[in-house]
Amino acid sequence: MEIEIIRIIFLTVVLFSIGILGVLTRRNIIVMIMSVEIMLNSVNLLFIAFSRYFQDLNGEVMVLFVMAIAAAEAAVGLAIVIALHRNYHSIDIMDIKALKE
Amino acid sequence: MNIPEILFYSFTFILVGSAFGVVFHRNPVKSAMFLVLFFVGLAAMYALLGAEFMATLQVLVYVGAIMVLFLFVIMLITVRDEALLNMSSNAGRTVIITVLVLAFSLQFWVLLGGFMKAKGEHVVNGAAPYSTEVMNYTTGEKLLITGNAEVISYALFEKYLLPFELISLVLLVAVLGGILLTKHKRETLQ
Amino acid sequence: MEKTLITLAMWLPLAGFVLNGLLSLRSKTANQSLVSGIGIAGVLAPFAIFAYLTFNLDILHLTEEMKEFVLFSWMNTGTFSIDFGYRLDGLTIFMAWIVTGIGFLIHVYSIGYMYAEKKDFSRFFAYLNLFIFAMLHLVMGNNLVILFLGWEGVGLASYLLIGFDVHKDSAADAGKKAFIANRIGDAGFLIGMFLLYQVTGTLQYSGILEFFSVHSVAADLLNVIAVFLFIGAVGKSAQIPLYVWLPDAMAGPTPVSALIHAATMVTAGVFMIARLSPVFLGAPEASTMIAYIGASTALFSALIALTQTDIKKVLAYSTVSQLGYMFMAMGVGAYGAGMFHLMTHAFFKALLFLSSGAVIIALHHEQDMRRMGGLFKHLKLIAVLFWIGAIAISGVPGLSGFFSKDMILEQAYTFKNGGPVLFGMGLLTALLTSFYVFRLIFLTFHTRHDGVADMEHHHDDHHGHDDHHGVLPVSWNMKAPLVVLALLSIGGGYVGLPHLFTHETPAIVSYFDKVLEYSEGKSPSEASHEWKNHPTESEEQVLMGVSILVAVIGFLIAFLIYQKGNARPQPDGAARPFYQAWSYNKFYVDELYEFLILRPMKKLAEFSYKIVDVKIIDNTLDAIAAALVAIGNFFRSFQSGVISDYALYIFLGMSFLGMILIGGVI
Repeated sequence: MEIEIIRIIFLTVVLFSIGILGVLTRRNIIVMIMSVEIMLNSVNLLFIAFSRYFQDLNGEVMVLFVMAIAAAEAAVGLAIVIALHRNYHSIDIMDIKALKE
Repeated sequence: MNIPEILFYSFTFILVGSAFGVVFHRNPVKSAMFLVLFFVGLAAMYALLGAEFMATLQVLVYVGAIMVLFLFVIMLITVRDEALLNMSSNAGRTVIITVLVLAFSLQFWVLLGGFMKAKGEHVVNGAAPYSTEVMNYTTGEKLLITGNAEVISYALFEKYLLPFELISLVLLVAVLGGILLTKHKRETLQ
Repeated sequence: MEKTLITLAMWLPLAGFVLNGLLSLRSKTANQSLVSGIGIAGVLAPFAIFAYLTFNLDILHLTEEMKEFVLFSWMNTGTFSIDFGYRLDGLTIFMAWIVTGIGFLIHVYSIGYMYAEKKDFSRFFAYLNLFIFAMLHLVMGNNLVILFLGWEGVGLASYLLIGFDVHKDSAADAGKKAFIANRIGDAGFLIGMFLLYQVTGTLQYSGILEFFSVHSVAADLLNVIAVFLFIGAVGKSAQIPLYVWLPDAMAGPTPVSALIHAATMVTAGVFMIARLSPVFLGAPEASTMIAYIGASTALFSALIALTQTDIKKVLAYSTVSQLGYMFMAMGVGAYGAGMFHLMTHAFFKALLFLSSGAVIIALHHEQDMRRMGGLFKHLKLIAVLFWIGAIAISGVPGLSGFFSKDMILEQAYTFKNGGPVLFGMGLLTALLTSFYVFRLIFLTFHTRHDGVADMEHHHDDHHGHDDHHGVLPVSWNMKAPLVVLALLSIGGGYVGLPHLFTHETPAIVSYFDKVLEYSEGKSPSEASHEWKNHPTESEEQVLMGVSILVAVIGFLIAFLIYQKGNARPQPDGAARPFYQAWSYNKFYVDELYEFLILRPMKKLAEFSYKIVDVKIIDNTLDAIAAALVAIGNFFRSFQSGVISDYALYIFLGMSFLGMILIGGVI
């Protein structure tokens, strides 16, 4: 049951980058939030891997907290999406430029 | 190639593939399905690394709760496919950002690769369990406990008790916020 | 006691200025008797105080402590400290008498002269009192900084009074010209002051005098200091090349011309040289230069005065010429003679100016002599007084001008560095002076012509209220000061009876020798002893005879040309022989300055405006502004409002941080 940690790191970097790619290129807000979830989870994987590597459970506890925050973030984020959709009748970020004003 | 490595590579394949699926599939419903696959794959990876408790939580929290929320929202706002088809960035921007992100991951690679130069030595042993010595407060005797869930729960309720309670508060606020944001206000719709 | 009195005398004129200034703000037509009362009190009180002090103190035998009256410590910066104080000695009391005495007479005269100017009456008296205040500080201060304060103060008062008629552009321009010409001189004066401080370590007169009585300073250094100080005197006292402002200053009211631009302010340069006599007596080369500049100025401006047609312009150039005499005297080391001429000139030139002012008022502000003539029968008293002044200035024996001028000419003749040349220039000037002043009299009072008739028609047509055939009567308060000044012009010279008559040193010379005594008890006469030859009695007789002769010759020429020949100056545009044209056009000096200085300055200003300002500075600023707009637009383009753009910026920033981190690790 032994896995070289360098490979896990490489995997998390790849997953994180894919998440960034999604946030930066997609115009659908829901998909952007999903990409953020991917980024969060890739970090979680790194936490677990190092926690196991150092035989230190603090990392796993941190993952637990991250999960809770992610849940909260998803709940609020999706609520915002609904509110946006109600006001703009769109979830395309190109249609939502209130930040410019 | 031993079994753990085979498992690792197959999970890696699932994770990367489903992540690409999430990001690049046009239909958000399919993206969400890929995300479910991603989460499950991640749970399997956690288990492979020996974090059974986290793997369980991953399935429960992400797949059971968060993904349901996503799907609900997607269904709720009923976005038609035609509208979705137009909803991607222009090609030039995608290419530029892809290049930037590649450069970024290379950066990470340099950063962390330097940290892990020696190959083969630094391995994660999925089979090695945590163990911790705890005190029975009623009897006063000390006992050694092993096993993922037990050790973590001891840590949670002793060392991390205050952050744990605060997190519950955060979740409460998030719930209230979600309700407040989605509450249908008649007067704003005029 | 003395300190209180002096302080009172110094500051009462300022009180008069403030009161009259406030009155001029309050009402358009202030009560004229109140205003003139305040104004006269502001000058009569100091006069009375100085008279009291003169008669109650033994001025010539005051100890050094008794001369100084320190009010307060003015500036104190470590090693450099200046007290605000006054100095009472024979020189300052002499000047204070002239300033307040003549000032008082002219204040009285001004009541009549300015009577018609209801609106500006109080403003005029306020300025006059301001002038008296500043002039007293110039004279009485116990250090050079207070002298400079007064120096600038009289410049300000002069500026305000030249431009008194604020509605006339020419008056305002003349004021500015005076101010600017004086600034050039002041710069030199300041440098001289700094150098003097560098040498002596003090600016207090007592300290400077003490320094020179103990130390001997290299003549080279003193020459430089003296030249710079003299540059200040050149500006203030209208010598070549900065004299051009004084004739223009005649744009001011006539009492101002008499008080400031003839009797007192313009003599400040002469006073300053006497005050710093150790510096100038230690600088023979600079003194020689002063003598030659004075002589040149005297001759040059007398030449210009020959053909002027404006009655005040003639007197203005005459003033410049007489100031030249004074500087010639100072230059040859004859300090007593210079101060003597300063005094007599103050008397007769004030008399001449005020008389001409009476004529001008009588003729409804007509100043052109070509439109005068035959006024004797209308203004008998004024004409007689004018005659007295003319005789005094031309050097006819018996009147004050003769004594002082003769003393200067004699002293110039004995000067070793080209005394006969100086004497020749002075003698020629005396001839010209006699000529132009009698020309003035004949043209104004005696020759018959139709000028007055013109004026009669003119004024009858337009005003219709004139009696005395268009010539207004002159009020008593204008006549009274004239009579006093005439008496002074006659008798003022007897304090300086020449050596030839008494076989003693003239009283005024020994007075100033005593007053200006400095290093090792040497008086100016003794200090400049080696600059001079010593004439025999027969030489003195010849010199005096010649100077009387030229005065008479000048009179006769004027009589023959203008009285017998009945010649009249031509109108402005008329063709003149070249020598007359040069004199009439003031040797084109104004045009020369225009060409040499003003034109390049204007070019420079135009260059600064059109090239430097518009092209370089404006364009630079425009470019900066445009660049800022462009930068702003560039950065605004980042604010697209699209969330993923903002996410991209966060990502880029994070990458940047990552790069720094890598840099740290590798």
